[in-house]
Amino acid sequence: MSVQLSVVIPTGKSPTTLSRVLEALEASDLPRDLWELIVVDDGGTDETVAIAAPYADTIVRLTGKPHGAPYARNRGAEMSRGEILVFIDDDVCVRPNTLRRMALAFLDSPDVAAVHGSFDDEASRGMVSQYQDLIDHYLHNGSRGEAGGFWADCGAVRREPFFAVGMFNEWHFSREQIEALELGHRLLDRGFRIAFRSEVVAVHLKQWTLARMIATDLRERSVPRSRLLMKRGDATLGPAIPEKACAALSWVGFLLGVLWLVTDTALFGILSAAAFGVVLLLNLPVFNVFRRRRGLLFTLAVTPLHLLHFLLNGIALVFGVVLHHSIGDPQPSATVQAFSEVGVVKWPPVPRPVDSATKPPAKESQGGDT
Amino acid sequence: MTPSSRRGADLDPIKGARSRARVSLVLPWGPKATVDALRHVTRVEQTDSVEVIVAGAESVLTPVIQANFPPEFRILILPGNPDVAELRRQGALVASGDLIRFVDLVRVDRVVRDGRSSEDRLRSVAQDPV
Repeated sequence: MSVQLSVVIPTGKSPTTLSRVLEALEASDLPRDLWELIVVDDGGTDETVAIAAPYADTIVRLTGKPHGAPYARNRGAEMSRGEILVFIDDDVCVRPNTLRRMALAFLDSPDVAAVHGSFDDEASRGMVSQYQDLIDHYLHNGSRGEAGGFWADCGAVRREPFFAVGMFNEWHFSREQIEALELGHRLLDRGFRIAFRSEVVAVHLKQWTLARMIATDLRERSVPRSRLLMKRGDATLGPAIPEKACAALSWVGFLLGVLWLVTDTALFGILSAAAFGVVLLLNLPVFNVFRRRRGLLFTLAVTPLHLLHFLLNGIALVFGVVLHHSIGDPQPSATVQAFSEVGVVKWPPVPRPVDSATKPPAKESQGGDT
Repeated sequence: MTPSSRRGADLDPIKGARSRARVSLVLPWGPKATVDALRHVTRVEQTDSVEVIVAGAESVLTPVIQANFPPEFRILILPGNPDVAELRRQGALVASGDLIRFVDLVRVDRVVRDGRSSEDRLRSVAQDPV
């Protein structure tokens, strides 16, 4: 009995939102026998198994220390039987029509290798969460159908291209970072198309705080992206030119502002204001979206967050360059590298570099009915 | 139970480690499950090489029904009137596999009777309702 979609959800030790995510999937209007659900329990506990069991078709238990979302998604994909692999995070709730619309996107466009949607910005709570979801929404919706990268919070990819490019890079990304973006670039490099579909929408349950936003922006997004940019030497991977200009101008404005405060020279204050003014002007389209969606007060309130985002981008670029030149690419532990080199075969498998993972596995035939 | 207490989880990474994932198949046996669906499953699945757990309520999983199961199947009889979600949950908690697969016998029955390919079924339902 074959299925069309394989939904893969990696989950870790604190599956606080998992039951809501699974309930949302269960409410999908795509008939249940057309999709399978694979929950990858990444070093979790029996609590995860107990939560997932009523909903899942397959639970993959990865014992030992957490292996990270890229690794967990890859193991889930290897156990899948569907033609289309759908990746959903364990804090993302689909809408009832999300899976069907994903399926329709592939049926409508046979030449599309991957499809992703965006977050429903209406559902987020808290100012920082609203800002984050609105920014994601703005960035994705600005791509006008053709996407420049993949998005694994709520995205789908055809089976063959996914395995042809070597799956997620579990070798370089030991936790959730920018592995989906990197996968997207490998797909594009091989000539595959990635489409953004605005009608594919999901709700992000993650609650952002300022500290979490800063830490995530630096550790999991901007710095890894800068390192990847340095490695590939590909300017298209990095921020767009206006974003780079905004990061540079924000830093100029910030430093001039500090000088103004220290020296009490009015000229520095004027130049600082001018620099930030240019940043604000360059971001008028974003602020317009904020104003339309949430009103003027919200827009004014999140303006410092947006400027902070550019300051963080500037720091990340410097860190990325330094890390690239000092320690090179991110690598797994020496033990993992040694196991990989001698070809240890075990379960859970030793992480593999992308180059060695090019053969699509046979579709799993065991078990799974559903 | 913590992950480290699971069978095999604390084995040396090379010496004695499993070379591949063990598979457990959980069959929640509800009132609508049929022996025909079970036969279909045992035909298409390699049930001889995996751990098979049939979980059902005392009142449903009668000795007559149990007589249809191969002797190597593990039978998990639950007291009272547990729903399918509970049968799946209890089956999963006793499973020792690294992969736990669940077989919905009612769904198997329905799809086998339908006979259409999954792509045909998808095409017929994927369009937005008018």
